[in-house]
Amino acid sequence: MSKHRQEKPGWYPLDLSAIVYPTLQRRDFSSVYRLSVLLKEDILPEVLQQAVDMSLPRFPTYKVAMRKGLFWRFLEPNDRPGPFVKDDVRNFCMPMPFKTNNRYLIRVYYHGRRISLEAHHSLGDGTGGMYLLHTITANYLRLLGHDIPNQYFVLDIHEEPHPEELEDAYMRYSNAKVRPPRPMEKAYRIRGTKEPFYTFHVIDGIMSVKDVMKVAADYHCTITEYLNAVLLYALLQKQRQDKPLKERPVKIAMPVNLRRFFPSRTLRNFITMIYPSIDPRLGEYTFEEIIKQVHHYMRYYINEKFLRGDITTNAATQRNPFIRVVPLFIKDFVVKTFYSRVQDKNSSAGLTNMGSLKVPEEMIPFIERFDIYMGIPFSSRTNCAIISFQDVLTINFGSCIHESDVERFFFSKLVEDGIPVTIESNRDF
Amino acid sequence: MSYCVNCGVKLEPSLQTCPLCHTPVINPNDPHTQIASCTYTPFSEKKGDVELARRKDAGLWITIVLFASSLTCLILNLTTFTSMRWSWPVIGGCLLLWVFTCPKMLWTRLSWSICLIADAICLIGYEYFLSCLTTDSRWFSALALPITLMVYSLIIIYILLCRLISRSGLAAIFYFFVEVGFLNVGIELLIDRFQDLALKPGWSAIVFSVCMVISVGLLAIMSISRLRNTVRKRLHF
Repeated sequence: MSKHRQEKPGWYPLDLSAIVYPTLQRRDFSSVYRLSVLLKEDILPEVLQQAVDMSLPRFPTYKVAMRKGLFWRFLEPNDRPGPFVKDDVRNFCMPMPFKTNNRYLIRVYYHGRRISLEAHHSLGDGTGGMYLLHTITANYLRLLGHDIPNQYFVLDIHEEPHPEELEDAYMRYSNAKVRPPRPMEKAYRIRGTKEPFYTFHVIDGIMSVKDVMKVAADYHCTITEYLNAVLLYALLQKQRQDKPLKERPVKIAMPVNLRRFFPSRTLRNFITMIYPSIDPRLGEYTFEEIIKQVHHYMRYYINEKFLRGDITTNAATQRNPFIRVVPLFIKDFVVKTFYSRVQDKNSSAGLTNMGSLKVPEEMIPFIERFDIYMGIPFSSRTNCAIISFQDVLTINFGSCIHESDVERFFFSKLVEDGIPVTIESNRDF
Repeated sequence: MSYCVNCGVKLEPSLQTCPLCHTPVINPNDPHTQIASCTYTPFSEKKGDVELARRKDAGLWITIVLFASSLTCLILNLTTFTSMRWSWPVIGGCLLLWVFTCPKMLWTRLSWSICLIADAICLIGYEYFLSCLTTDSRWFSALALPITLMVYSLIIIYILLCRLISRSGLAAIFYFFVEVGFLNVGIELLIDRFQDLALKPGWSAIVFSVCMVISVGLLAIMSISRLRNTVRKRLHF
């Protein structure tokens, strides 16, 4: 029975990261990400719908609608029917207007053997979404008669949510005594032909974890550092190919899962950004030098002290009493302007690595692999997301531009390094 | 399963060209058949549409508020402040506001051209109605009607130009400035005629000149591709 019985809150304030995402909402853009699991047998939609209906009440911060207050937006529990599972679409991660889909901010799709969950980033980050996807998948398999225990990302649907799962963990840990400044230098931006509205190009690269690990070990770095370096290398080549009048540093916006450093069970956003970069104006970098730079950058910045300082800087704005009393529409205008003029120009591409996923032993025979997509980028660029399960490592690129040069340079480098890559794509040219 | 001869990556069976370098997938043993017939694709073929947000609630709310305002004014006019028919222009204004805002909210499939025509008819009707309430109604035929017709004609021309010729940002700004120039000249000439003065552009000539200078500059940028690319490069953000 319920281990953490408590009164259900009537609403949830948005967490520190989530405040920004609804502000950036446009007709052709929503901060939506997608998590997919590829099973070994075709999906039965009716059973999947039952699994969603069973699982969602366990995740109160995902069964919500977005509402506007005078000063901030907030999430309100949503008891409308849904969300309903749908046949998948080619151009996924479509914008998610807040008043559609019975006001739900998640979508569940199926196609062949694949179950996909799309969630608005204001509800939570990839880790939170992964808990929901795993719980839905476990319940789906249970409904088919398999015995799946509650372990790792699979939560017990009969248990009341732990208060920590609903918390804004930023506020608990943003207590450094200094606030390090944000990096502000403009980065190289990919120039490409923007595709019409409703287009989302995806290129997936599938490879063996062992192969990548072996190559990374040869370069004396981790898989994340190696793939970061390959993406920087690809972006440098793309900038060289573009022949810009003025070269700029090539930077990657990489989210870091703060749960690794600050214990929290939160299912909401708890990430911060770091920006590994290479400045070609300093001279020609060899691939080994890029790896060395990324390796040392990560060792220097990804630690509890620096990350605490970083989230304290971010939280300072929200804590400022003068900012708190500014009406929402003014905040929206200022945040949107700051994001599009400064923040978005701060990086050339996005890269996230969810790492190696663990599922209960009993679920392993039913799962082939996982996919993760960072969604439609805010500006014309490409985003890269990495995830691995057992020996399958998947690198998913998503973009709204016609050209696929960065993806080509990236995968060509992997092939050059001796990693066999299998490509899947929804591009039709 | 095939490999791309250019990139060296293995390609999923349903792919006809390499998505990285666009090299066609050809089986050397059977070069005339481009790919193996593969029915399963990892991605759906169905194209999705973004669901339209329901704005009917806002439309209904505006309708109720405007109706309540009109009714209140009418009752006040009939019972308390009965000296003149002051509520009529208010009711007409509410009706005009409703036509401007609500139809597109209540009937989302209504085309913009119908809304625009309805707006124009309603506005002219309201101006005529106001002219009937005033002692001298000459301003309606001499000023209000031609200016309204001119503004709406220019809006329609603007939309047609954007749709039929070029909808680029620079072109849209160019059309805007040209039309603003002509609109100002037209307004001044109509005012001169209304006041029985000689038809001679004064202040509007300055506005027209400024608009034309901007338009010529934009036209130059638009027509010379080298200049256009330089501006795009220098101003890209």
